[in-house]
Amino acid sequence: MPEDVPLAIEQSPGRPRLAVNTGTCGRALGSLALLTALRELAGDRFDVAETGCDGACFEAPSVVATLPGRPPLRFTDVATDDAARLLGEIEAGDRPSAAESPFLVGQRRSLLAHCGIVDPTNIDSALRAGAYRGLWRALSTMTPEQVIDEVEAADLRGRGGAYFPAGRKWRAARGFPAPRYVAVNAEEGEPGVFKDRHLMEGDPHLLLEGVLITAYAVGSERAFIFINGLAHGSRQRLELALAQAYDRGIAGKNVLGTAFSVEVEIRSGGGGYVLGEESVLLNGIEGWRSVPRTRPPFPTEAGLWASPTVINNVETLCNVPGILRDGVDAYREGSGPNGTGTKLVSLSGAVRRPGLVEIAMGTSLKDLVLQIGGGVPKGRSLIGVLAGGPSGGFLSADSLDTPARPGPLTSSGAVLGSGGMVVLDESFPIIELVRHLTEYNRNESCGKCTPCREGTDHMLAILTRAAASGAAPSDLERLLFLGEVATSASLCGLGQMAPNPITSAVDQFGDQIRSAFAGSS
Amino acid sequence: MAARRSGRVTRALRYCMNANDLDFDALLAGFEPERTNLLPALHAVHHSLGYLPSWAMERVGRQLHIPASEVHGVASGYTEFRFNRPLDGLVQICNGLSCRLAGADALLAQAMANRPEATETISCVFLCALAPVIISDGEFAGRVDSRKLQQAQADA
Repeated sequence: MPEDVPLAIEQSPGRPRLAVNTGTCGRALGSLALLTALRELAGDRFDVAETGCDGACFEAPSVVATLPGRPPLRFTDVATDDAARLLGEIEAGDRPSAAESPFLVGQRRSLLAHCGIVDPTNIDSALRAGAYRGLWRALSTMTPEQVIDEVEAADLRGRGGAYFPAGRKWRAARGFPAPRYVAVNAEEGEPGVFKDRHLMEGDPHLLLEGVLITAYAVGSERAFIFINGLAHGSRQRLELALAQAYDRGIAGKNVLGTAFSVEVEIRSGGGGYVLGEESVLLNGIEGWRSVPRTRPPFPTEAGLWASPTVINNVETLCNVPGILRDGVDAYREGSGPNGTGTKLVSLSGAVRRPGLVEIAMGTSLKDLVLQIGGGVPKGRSLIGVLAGGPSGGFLSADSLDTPARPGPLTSSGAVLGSGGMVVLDESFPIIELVRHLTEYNRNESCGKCTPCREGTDHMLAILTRAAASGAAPSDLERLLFLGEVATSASLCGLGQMAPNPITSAVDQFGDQIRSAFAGSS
Repeated sequence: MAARRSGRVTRALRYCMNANDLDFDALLAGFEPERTNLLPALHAVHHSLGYLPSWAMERVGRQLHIPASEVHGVASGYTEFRFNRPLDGLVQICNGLSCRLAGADALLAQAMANRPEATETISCVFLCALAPVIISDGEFAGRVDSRKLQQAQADA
């Protein structure tokens, strides 16, 4: 463990601690009222702290009680009216601590290690947990090139879904003259994905540390964090964390007393799936319309204001502090042919334990859905999963025995992508799910490229007829052809990947799809 | 409960704020005339008024030295900006896949039957693990059932 950052760190209050999940999942179920009630009732006897969600969203609102010399006690689904009873139980000490939750067995908790534990509103809480030690090691003992070497050696790949090597991106940008910029893609606008929000709400200093290390490595003096417009909780906590980091000399001029200076600015988006596409995001920061740019030149050469710009996803950058703090070997430990590090998976849909899961690369999707997620609720049956959202595709229940890895999971469009996974039961016919996703892609097309703008609209018309059993086999051929055109002739990923739900449904649920196209033309 | 109520009142007042009461010049004064300030300036206006009327977009353009047509062009590309004053007690029902699997279609039918003028769908709220989800007067609510929805609409 590298040495502590050169800062005075305030010690913890030393009282028994109650940690209330006041992340967005907790708040949407009333945890702010619970926090107020607990603070009123507990007085000075407990330190009642806020935390983010630890990923077990299905248990929100949750409270974790830590008493000296005892394992933590976890209370789930706590109603505000239960606050007094809960305090009584904790003080009486008659509640046994539970066995490890089946939700946690099988996970490898690295990025989420401090989510639900550190108080995201208090920088000292993060510093006590080791925040900014990776940054300090980089600034005090390494050159920017050495930092890039380590990130390359760790084989860190982009967690936004493309899995492009982060170190190679940084090196490319460093090869062009300054000014250089860092843009953090915190747009996370893909339906079904909520991982970056958990990181920003639960451990905002982890992201800030990653941003600062990246800026140092790239040689950038200005970084932007572009946050999804609906992620109010992320913005609030990141703003507070950034203000505290400036206040302690961790961001801004002469970071931690060194010669390195960087200004970090937080921006909010205003909705639209296409904003998460990197060149659209650059237009958003600069103040232009939300449409993609033509490449090349790539952003590493000409991004923000035609200057070299590194764009990384939140989860990617949250990997960086650990690599610098614990070293490449620790990061690569246990990794196989499916890549290094962990992957966050947003698990939702027809599953007993929906939430945010962190798995080692290579973990089987079957284990993810059945063991960690607990399978479908009683009385319903597992049909498959949608992996990668509206740009991804379907995997039938029979195809789940596949490892989580970068690149395609099947030959037909299902990808791990940014890690959205919706478990499907028999509630809707597959053709309706395909129609739903295509309608989404149609609505979200920015309109710049004709094959995407017009193509998705025609695809939707065909699928709407098919869902109402009014389509012929020739319609299916036309649908697949429209998809090929959109894939090959759209500028950005939205149009290129819009046909994935269709092709993967044909591949995985062929009989059902063909039966929807069995009418006469 | 009391705290939640007062929160709602503040929000309702914000949305109903009379434009005459807002010092618009002061609101925009901090934005230097650079294009990169366009989205932050639009957010500031949207936050204060609850929507972006045409005259406000024109004023933003004048402050930032950007033609009003381009301000409209940029603003209309963002799905969360409103161009008309939202109704009090607006309920947005998440229409994402996980929410639909958890019964969002029935919630939508119920909300439409009750207050169609103040019911909308939204493509995802990103709280999929708490499905079905709604936004009630700007506030997220998870694991919504028929009773919770009824309450949200009755509170309006």
